[in-house]
Amino acid sequence: MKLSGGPDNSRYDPDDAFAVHVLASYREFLQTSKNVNSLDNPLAGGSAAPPQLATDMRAAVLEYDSFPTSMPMRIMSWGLLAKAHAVHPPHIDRPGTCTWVAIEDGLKKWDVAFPPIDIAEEEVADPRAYGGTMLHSRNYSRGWRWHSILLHPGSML
Amino acid sequence: MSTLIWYSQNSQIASDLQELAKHADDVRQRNGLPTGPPPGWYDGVTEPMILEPPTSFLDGPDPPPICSLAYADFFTMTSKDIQDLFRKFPVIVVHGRPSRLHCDMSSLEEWGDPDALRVMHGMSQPVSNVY
Repeated sequence: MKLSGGPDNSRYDPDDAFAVHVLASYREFLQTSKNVNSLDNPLAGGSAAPPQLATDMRAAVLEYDSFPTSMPMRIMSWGLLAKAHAVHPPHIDRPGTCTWVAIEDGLKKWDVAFPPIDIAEEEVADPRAYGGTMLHSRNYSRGWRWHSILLHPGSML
Repeated sequence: MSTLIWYSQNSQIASDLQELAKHADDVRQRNGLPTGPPPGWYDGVTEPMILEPPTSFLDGPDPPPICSLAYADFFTMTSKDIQDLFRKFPVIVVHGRPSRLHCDMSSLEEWGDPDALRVMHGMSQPVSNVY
């Protein structure tokens, strides 16, 4: 996998087998057989999300040009670049906010979970529902239901 | 050492998948749905197969709060209509959105310098095990 003109930064390092992050270029991403994926791709310009869903934070950034740039709110869209078979364990990114994902190429199976409707409010307010039981056993013991959606180019969740 | 880790991780994944399949079968059985592997699946299958989506998924007796809409309809809704929709359906799947990019160099060049180093998650070994 060594590339001409430089090292292959995506290569597996047997001396650091549990390293989570690597530094790699797009060129190396396309060439490596390793299952790497990247969120380090801030997308500028227009948003694929409907403007009707502008959050208070986005509205503030648009309205006040001097909005603190130290807060990562100016960039709210990322390109997710992933090799086939990349898997992400169940997790919550930002409680209380909406997330959208639009597929440009390839397929992505997205699993969504819902708490039992009769205790939904208590469950979503309980931090324990987002810890180990979510990560390791998908909250089955808490009665959560999972549904899988296969997204393809043209899909937006 | 690394080979042992590779086998251990794959063994754990296989165990997790078997547990997930058993759970899915239990839920399917309780809801009167077919159980077991899909038609065309047999031990040793390694090639991708096409699964027909269930046509009654969103119309069943206990439908999930997922709404499906056409892209053109969704993006022309008013803010109030969208927010009302989200109160009933926390998950909305839009279809028919125009897409343009591909996972190739020319598309990635639109994102930035193809030789710039970026942080990537990479806790796996090369498929070829050649490094």
